[in-house]
Amino acid sequence: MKKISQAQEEMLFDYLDGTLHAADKQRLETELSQNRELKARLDELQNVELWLSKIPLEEMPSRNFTLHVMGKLDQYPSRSSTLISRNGIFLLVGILVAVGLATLLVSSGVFDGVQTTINLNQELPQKYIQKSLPPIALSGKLIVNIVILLNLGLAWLVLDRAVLKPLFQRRMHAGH
Amino acid sequence: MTIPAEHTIIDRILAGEPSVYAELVNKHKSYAFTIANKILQNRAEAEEAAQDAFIKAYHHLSSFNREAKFSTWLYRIVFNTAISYKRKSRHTFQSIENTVLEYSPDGEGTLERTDKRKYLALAMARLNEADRTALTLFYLDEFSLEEIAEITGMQANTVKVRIHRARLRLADELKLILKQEALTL
Repeated sequence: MKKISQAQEEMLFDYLDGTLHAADKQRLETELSQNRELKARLDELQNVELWLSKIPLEEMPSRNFTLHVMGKLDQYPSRSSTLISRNGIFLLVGILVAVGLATLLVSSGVFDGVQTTINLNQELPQKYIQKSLPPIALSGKLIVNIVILLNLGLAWLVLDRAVLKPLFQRRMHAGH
Repeated sequence: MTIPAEHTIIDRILAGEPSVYAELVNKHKSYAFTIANKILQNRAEAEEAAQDAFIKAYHHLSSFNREAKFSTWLYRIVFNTAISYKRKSRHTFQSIENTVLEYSPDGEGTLERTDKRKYLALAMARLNEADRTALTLFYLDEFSLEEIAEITGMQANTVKVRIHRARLRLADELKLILKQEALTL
């Protein structure tokens, strides 16, 4: 069975769409009379063409579609933005609760006794380092404070995106 | 409705007469819904997406550039809204057997047409949404390749290739469905 080339398929479409030049059309018709596979492909495509042009593709929405649209004109769409701001508010509340709890624990001195040092000299084999490295001291309080700070930054970002921006956008639209 | 008539309606809406927007909704709702449904393959979601798109278009009407056709501008909003619904939708799979098909009793040949419509819907459901939409817009016979490109945000050449590929794929799918159907008879 002969394989139909992409160029032949393109030519079949142009033939079906009536955009093929006269010379090419004649050449294709000669080829169609000699190549059964190509003719079979054309028949299949003609069938699809017939179905697509005869069967109405247009679909009707519900009867009260227009009524619904007109009733919602004052609301700025969409369900997605509502969802985003609602999820954003939940996220913001979650972050603030976590920050509050962490601050409470830090101020009550829970992390004061948490101290550790990282000794890099033990971790790396002697042959790779020329000089001994100083140990790095880590305090639990410092780490939690950094986490709190990062969370406050994140909370500010969420507040801007989920509350302030939609609020100003809504005000802008209400002003129009 | 002619293009100048549409522009007059837009002017009236922008001048503070929102009720006339219903005329534009009535004129374009079926195509808007068709586009959304081709992407979402779910009538309820398509209806919601198309309504959302009309509301978005209303709120951005002042930014509509009158050099383009209102329909092209509107359907681009519908296309983008439906695509974003598709991405957010939790409803990721709908069995093609459950595809809603409207029955229109109109006498002789109805059964055959209904069958063809069913097979076509099944075959189309197997295409991806961009191919399905491009193909539908092409066969709605209202849009040029350039307009379809504008609506779908693709290059005109890409649209042409997509339509060609979609027709080939559709032919193969139909062949497969009809063969399966014949085997089950």
